[in-house]
Amino acid sequence: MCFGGGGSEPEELESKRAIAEQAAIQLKNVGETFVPLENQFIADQYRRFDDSSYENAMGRAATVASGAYENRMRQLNPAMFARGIDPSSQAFIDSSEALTKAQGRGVGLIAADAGLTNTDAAFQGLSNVVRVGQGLQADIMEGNIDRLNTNMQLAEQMADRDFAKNAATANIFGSIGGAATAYGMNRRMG
Amino acid sequence: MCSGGSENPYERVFSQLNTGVQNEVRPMFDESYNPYENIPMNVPRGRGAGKRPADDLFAQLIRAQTRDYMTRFAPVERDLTGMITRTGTTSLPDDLMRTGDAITTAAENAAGQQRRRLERFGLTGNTDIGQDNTYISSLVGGFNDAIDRDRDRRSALIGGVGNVSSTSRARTKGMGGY
Repeated sequence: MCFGGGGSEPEELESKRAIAEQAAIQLKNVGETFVPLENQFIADQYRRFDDSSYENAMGRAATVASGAYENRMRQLNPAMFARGIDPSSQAFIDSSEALTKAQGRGVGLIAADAGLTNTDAAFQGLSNVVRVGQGLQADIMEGNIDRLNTNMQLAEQMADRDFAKNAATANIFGSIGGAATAYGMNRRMG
Repeated sequence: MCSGGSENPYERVFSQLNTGVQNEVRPMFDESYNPYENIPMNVPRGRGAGKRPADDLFAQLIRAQTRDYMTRFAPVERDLTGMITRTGTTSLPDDLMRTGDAITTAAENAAGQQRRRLERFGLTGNTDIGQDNTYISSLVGGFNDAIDRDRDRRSALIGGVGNVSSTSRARTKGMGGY
């Protein structure tokens, strides 16, 4: 059976041409608007592996952690003097030494944690680049401020625990907390 | 190339690549690179248009996307998978060194503070951190943490990259699509 033939092929629908042009325009816009941002994002992820990125993250974390311990240390000495504890006594030296070591440990571990977290973030960033390239949804990334807040909370918790664990200072810190609360209440009531 | 001088890590990494690889990944290191800047936006009409100009335009778009993927993203995939080792990732030695430095510096600073504090009262104490159990246990804990986290990172990368590779396999079997 023969249906003839030799006629010209049917023309493409005008709607198909319009869709192709729409796709081209959208892709061109992606190139102009989003590709530069993606390129910056890729560059930023590689920069996370740079020394300066680690130095910033670890330096900030160490400063925050030192602050958490030093605030408590500043309260400790006057409180011990006020209780008539001799600063040259072995009890004073031991207590102060134990807390200083705890400070060293706390600051060191929190700074080290900030470095490891930076490595995590760098790998997560590169994984996100891969996901973007595969057309998959990228993971939400924690920002530098979020990471610093986490370090700060960790430092406060560690310092609280270290000072509470130290038997010689536990009572004094209870007193300081009570005095501060009383002071606050007096101000409010006054 | 991206700006920033010789200290720019981007340029430093780039300069360490051999010439062939440099040519391959150059666009990835160029932040102004736009893979779609030369694509046509109109379906050709008239005599020279071809039989199926809309299909031809679609094909050009798909090729541009493939070129983009090969130029900007595939090198990162190769780079990332190259960082996975049998036990963790290539970042472990640097992580261990940074961990050790951070803990040692903090312990030395704390020992210095304690020495100065005692000296104010005319006292001396033992501030040698080398014999200090707190310092040693911090180091061990820090190193263990670095190793554990590196192992976790490896698992996460393999899981993530594995998902990506299964997506690619699905695409080549016609089960997915751009």
